[in-house]
Amino acid sequence: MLAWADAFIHVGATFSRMQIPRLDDLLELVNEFCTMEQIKDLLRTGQDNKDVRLSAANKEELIYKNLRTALEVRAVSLDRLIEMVREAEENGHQRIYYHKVAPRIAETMTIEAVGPRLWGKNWKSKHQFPLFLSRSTDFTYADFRLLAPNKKPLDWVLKVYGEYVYEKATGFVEKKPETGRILREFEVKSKRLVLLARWNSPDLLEIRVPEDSSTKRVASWAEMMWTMLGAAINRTLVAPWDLSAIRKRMIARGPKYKNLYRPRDARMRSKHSNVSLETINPDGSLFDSEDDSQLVSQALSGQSECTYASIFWLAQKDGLPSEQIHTNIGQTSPNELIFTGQCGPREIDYVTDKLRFFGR
Amino acid sequence: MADRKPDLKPVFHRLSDWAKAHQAWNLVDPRELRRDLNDVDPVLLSLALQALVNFGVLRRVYRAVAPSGVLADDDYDDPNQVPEWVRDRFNHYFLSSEGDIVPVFKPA
Repeated sequence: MLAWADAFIHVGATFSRMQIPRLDDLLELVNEFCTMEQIKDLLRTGQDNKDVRLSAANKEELIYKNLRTALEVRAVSLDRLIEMVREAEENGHQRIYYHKVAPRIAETMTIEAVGPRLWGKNWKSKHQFPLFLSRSTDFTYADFRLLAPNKKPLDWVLKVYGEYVYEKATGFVEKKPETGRILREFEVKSKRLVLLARWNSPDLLEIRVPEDSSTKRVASWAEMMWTMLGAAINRTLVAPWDLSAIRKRMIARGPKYKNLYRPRDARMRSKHSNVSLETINPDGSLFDSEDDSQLVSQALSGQSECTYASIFWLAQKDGLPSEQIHTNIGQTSPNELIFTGQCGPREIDYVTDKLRFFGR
Repeated sequence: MADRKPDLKPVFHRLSDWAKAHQAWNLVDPRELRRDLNDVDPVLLSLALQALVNFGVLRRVYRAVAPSGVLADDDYDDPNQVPEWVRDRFNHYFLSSEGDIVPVFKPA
């Protein structure tokens, strides 16, 4: 059996400046952020080893038995594991707030210009990024890096870690008939919060925060990201990218682009009324029948707006996306896009590029 | 299947016709089935669906019903796994205990 710290020696240069991660911490993050499919993909990289198993009764067994064993026998690289967690925590299950940046301001959005504005001249030596396993009740800068130096050399991502403490019902209920009271037990739990600002050149700033059942909480996290961006970007000089017209155009053009996306649910608002449309078939489209198509066209006619659209981006032959991606456009804010599930960075950029296309 | 469950043969045929007419569906919602096949005895319909599960053709999962009456998105193997708060199609969360949890059938 391999000691965990010993295994860490094999970590490559990318993460060598991090504090040594505890295996239990890492596995907890895997459980929090990664899907079973992502974990299986990782395990497949070590499938030559007889100790590596893909089949498991549930996610816990896959992580705490199969993955732990694969790491302990060094069949799976720790680098890859950390990369998987990093990619998972930065992409998917998120709300993205898009902001348009004028060309004059965009010129000042390079990593070389933003870094010193945030932390002063010698920021590279002051900050030991990435801080992968930082656990803090305060919000902490965790990473600031170029995203794809070869493909889009101007793009960067700024990552902030925080902690969200919440109460979870254990299911234990005690009835006290003598007092007429019922006691329900809750457990105090915490999870890592990952806030991101992503500069998507040439003109988009994305504020990405985790999706949550409370819109107030989500809004407060977005505000926190703006606070952390503080000195780097003057918020008054960037404008929310209003997706309202794009949303309406995408619903209206659904039949034309039926190989690209599937509009499933929408909410329209005319001068006098709100109309909500949801397909009965969860895998259906608003344009599955002639009657439905007419209904949508009528609801979209005249001055009406589309205030909400649920769009499924369909898998494409070239593998991008490799499986359908579900997004909701505009629940609480006109510049908001929600990714309801896990996906990769390429998939998120794919959707953003398509929104740019429909915005032309 | 009809040979192994001859008493359900007519129901299997009706289910087969329904599936052909609903090829865009990746699941069977028994509520829709009952609405469309309203001349079929609901008990026989349930028995036929259960038989298809036993034959390994379908598997049963559970979904929450949103306040608007449509199915919410996530599948659960067990109704006890449905979380307290579930997201509807418009990304609003509702208390699952105040709505219905229904079985649906997906290809095994």
